[in-house]
Amino acid sequence: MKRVFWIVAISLAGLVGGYFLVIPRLGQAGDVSIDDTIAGDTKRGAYVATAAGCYTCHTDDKGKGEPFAGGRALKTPFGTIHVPNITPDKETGIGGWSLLEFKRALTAGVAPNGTHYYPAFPYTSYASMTDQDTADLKSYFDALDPVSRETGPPELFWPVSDRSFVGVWKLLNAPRKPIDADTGPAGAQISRGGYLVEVLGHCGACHTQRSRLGGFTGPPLGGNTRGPGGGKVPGLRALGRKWSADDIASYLSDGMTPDGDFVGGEMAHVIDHSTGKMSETDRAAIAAYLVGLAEDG
Amino acid sequence: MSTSRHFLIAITVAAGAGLLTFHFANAHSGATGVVKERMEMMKSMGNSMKELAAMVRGKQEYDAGRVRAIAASMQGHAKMIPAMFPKGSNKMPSEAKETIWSDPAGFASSAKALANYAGKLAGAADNQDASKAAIGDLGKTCKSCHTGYRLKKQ
Repeated sequence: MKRVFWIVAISLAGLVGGYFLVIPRLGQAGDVSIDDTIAGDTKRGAYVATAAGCYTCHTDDKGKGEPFAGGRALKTPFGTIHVPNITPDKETGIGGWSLLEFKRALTAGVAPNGTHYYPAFPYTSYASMTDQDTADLKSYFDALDPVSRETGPPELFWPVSDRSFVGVWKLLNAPRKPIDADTGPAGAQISRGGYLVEVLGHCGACHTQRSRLGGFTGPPLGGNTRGPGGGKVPGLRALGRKWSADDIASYLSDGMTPDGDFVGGEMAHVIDHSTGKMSETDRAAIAAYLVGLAEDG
Repeated sequence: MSTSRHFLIAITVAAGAGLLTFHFANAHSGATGVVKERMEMMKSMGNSMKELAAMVRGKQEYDAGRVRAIAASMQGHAKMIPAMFPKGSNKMPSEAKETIWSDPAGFASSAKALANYAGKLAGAADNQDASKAAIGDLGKTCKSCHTGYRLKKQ
């Protein structure tokens, strides 16, 4: 009996200690830094916002909300998240944030007050964003008209509702390594495509297999049976074997597959608000990257 | 039960499971009745869009008469859409989203938009530029309806 008592007591002490002393230190990203003299360009930032697909989640299209003012009710397997307002409103948006705070949020998923963001926000993809793109993006948001819109707290079940546990999630799903530039003949084009797909476009957020706990369990871009809205998201690794680079670039422009079929669901929003508005060169770069994946097997 | 009986039951269950898997393995095959009809109709509209796109992109010679014929055919199909989605017809392998029945007005209005744009294309067929724009609008309509009312489950 005495032994059982001690085992239970020590285990409990371990759990409580872990919760208060260890878990808060996970995923805090105290090492994130940025040269705050970088000049951000608003026009370039608008393009970064398009490539990064900020509009679709951060705008309440259904409720005819203002662009980037948040309020969209994002349904996840863990409950509903009310996507935040990212206009420069000081009370309800991100007005007054420093460049470093903005970078920490985007690339490490940590809020200015030190709490974690839920990984519905694809910061593991944005982790490799360049500092210039980060500064440009911030310039763009800073230049928007501030919109006052309070977005409510997330409605998630316990223990997911306790943000501290996201630190554990982060430990298990470390951000992807930065993309290395390819120095081959088509190198410049492919590395831009890789950056657009793996980082800004955060395609892997939907196209990579997720576990029940929302972690990444499959090969990158290998397809996902737990897609947003309950649908099955196809893999992209072998796409280049069936579609040509032209087919892919064209699809990203108007949503038509080589069969004459038209995309629906979430991908339609990607085409409407992101890839469909990007340059032809960038769509070609994305296509080249995906074709390259198919060639690598 | 005897071992041979067990074996017989196991074989039957396995065969049944195998048959069911085969039945559902392919999106279109296994579809019957109105689900099959509308899938074939959508596929035919897809083929039409493919041909129209080829003409717009210069991969196929532009032929106003052909465009008019395709547009007329799509307009006819579009008018049939609402009737081909009776309540309760969204069992596998259907890709119909339940919003078709929870938002019938929206669905009907999407189908009507398709009929309208197909009609516009028929009227614009002799003018290649107007026709190009009309084909773009047609594609946007396909995409828009699929966004709200289609869910690929396989």
